[in-house]
Amino acid sequence: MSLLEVNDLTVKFYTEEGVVNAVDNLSFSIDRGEKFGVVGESGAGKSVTALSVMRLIESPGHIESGEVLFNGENLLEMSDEEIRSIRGNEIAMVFQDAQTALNPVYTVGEQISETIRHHLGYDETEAKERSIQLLDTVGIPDAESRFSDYPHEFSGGMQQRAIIAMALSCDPDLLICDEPTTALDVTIETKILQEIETLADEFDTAIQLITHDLGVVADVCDRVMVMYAGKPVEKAPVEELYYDPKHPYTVGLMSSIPRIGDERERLQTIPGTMPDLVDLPSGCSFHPRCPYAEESCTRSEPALVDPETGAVATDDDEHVAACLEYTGELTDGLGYEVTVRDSSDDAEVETVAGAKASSAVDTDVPDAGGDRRD
Amino acid sequence: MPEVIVVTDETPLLRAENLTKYYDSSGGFLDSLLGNSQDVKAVDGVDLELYEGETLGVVGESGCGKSTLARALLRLVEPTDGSVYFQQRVEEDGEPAGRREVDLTTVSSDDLRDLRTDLQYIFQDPFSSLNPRLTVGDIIGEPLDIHDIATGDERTERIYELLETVGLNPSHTHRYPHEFSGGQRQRIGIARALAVDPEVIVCDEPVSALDVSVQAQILNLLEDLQDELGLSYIFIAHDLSVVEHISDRIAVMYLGEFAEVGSTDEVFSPPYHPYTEALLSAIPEPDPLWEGDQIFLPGTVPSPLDPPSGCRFHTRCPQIIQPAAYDLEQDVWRSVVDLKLRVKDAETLESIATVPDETPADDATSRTSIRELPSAQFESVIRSEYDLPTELSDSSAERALSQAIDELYEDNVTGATARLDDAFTSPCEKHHPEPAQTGTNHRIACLLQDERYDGDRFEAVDADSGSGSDNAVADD
Ligand code: SF4
Ligand code: SF4
Repeated sequence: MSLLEVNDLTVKFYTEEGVVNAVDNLSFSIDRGEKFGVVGESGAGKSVTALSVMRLIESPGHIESGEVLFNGENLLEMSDEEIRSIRGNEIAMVFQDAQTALNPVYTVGEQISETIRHHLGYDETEAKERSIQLLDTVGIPDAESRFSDYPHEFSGGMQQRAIIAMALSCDPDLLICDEPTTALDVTIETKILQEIETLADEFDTAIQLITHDLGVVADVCDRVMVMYAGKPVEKAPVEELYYDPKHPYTVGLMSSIPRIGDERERLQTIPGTMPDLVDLPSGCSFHPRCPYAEESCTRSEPALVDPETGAVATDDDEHVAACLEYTGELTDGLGYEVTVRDSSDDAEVETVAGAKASSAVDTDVPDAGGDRRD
Repeated sequence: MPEVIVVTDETPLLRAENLTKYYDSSGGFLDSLLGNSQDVKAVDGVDLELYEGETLGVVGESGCGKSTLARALLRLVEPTDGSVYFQQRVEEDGEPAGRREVDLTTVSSDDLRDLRTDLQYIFQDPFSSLNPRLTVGDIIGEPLDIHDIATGDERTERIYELLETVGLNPSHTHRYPHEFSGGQRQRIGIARALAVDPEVIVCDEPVSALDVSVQAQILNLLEDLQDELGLSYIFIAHDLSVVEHISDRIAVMYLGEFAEVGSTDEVFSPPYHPYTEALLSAIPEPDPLWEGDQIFLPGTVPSPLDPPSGCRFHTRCPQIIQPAAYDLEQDVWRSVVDLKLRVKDAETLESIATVPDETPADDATSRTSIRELPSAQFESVIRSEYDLPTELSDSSAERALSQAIDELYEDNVTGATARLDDAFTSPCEKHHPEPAQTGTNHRIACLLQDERYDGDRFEAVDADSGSGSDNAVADD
């Protein structure tokens, strides 16, 4: 049994502008101790997914349907009290913005101790001791005296570490990290990612890492799900996703990031922006931006399938993608090729769009103006 | 007015000399009355050149002063010291008539205002820098009005043209900023900067708030505009791979100073500045099989209120130079310096090391302070906290270290501080590295590139300054 199993989750937000389809019919699972990445740009539904697992969706948001099984029990059916005892205890979360997760009027140490006392029933001295150890573990120098610092006396990187210490304080089974290092400098980012990894290995904690950064995912994760406009478009073990991407959006993402040592004059781009989630494009939501889109893409919505067989994805499939190519509904097929550049000491992947994709390379035109959100 | 001088190709379009910006961090009147005022040395003596048609990237971690530098260059903040020379176009009877050099830091505010038509700025956050109550047309039209560039139909025409240039639909002139996505808003910001037909645009983290696919669109747009309009960019960013992609030359900034300046190729290949090398190694590669040797920097960027002596990077530099007297493993040496710096700043013993989880306690209650440990255990806790071996390979270094640990054990932090300082002072703490020429256009500010460094040791010319290590361990 998977540690976490999300089945057919649909989340909507009822806003003045209309109904936002934040997450649409999403399924995935995470095994005990596994590091699972969720990748996508803003508006992809990554954070909403995380919040749903924590059952933190607030009005005007609403979980329409689906189930979130944690150790086999449906979190969506639990009482408020039950869910509270799971949150922080068995599932912990680290957000991008550490500042908002720490209360400015209590010392960092008090906040961690309080969490420990609350969840583990330690007395005050024990909790303090444990907090100092944790702060030390996550690499806060001088943990003993830093214990009584207020959040504003911590740098951004230290605040984020404190949050991680707090999240780990109760030895959770699942740690959800939502862009945990996005606001940080790269030198600190590396350290924090490494700490998350080491600690997760040490405590056999599963990680759900939400990020827009493909470098971070490659560094940390075992398996990855790429999301676009509220839907998963590809799921794969990390190496397959990078060396053998199956969905045009994944390919587009990979080739739009600048790489050190890359001689390309121009970056490839995905034209346009994320569609309006109130008014999703028909058929495949990616079709207005997809260089391979055909008539059929505007009509039928591709299901997640095994790209080899075209059969509807099951739990056993390692690599699945949602593109009509794999159900034989495209006439011209997909025109990209992936070349793996093998420089002396490390392999680099370069995703080259094939002839047919040339339109994508040059189509640096923003959308016609239909979209109004990020 | 400065006289008109002939400008050759080699003259940089924009040149900063010793550009400096200090902020006063004192709490106010009372603080300054009591002499408590302290300067935040945000930008401290930066020299830079920007040539026509090129992109100079400036990278660094947050707090390194890169945004302040960007603002001081255009005098959006008043520099504390230094000059910024700009080769201004001059016209005679509407015809171009060469250029003249003006110092932006001394021109009158009227002249500065006129110069804004040559020097423009693009902000990181396209949303907060666009007035939400103005339509896109008016946002772009504003600089046209301010500088009396166009009115009436001509103005409208120009706005349409600009929108098209940046890839937006001219029919959007009547929309408001909130109706656009992040990438589109950044395009509006670019159109506004282009409105006055500038020569130099300072781009302050222009893509860091954008999604990757949109980021690529904006980077391509900036490059296309540069080709088309012959623009010169100063491109400020924290993301090295973005900077590498867009820049012809790169300056790496650390604590208000340039650590390294060179062509993109030079900066990205050896010889490296140790800081650049660490930054480069830290970038997570989008490749799951990539096994880079990541260089971890201890600690965080120190406060610009009181930057470290000598080389400002010495508190974190993996390659910090050893005193001539020793020949320790480099990482052991780094650890010794870490211990020394921590002891120096320590207020109490407890802040030097914490008792690790697994330390066996010989009585039932666990110990929470290293103060309570027996001497042998105290020593091993200290050594393991700083990754120091049980014995340093150099006997005189070992003597100084173990004596200092003994002093700590006796709670004599002052004594330990003095002893460590005496025995373990790096030339990097005493000498401020001057930029050394390491290639045609490549300058590295690191003592390893200094001619006084012979590949093994650093010989200071004046006898005085090298003393720290020499007489260090002789005293008892
Ligand atoms: S279904 Fe069509 S539009 Fe969607 S990704 Fe595949 S080719 Fe592109
Ligand atoms: S001068 Fe010394 S501390 Fe500074 S970068 Fe060079 S080796 Fe490192």
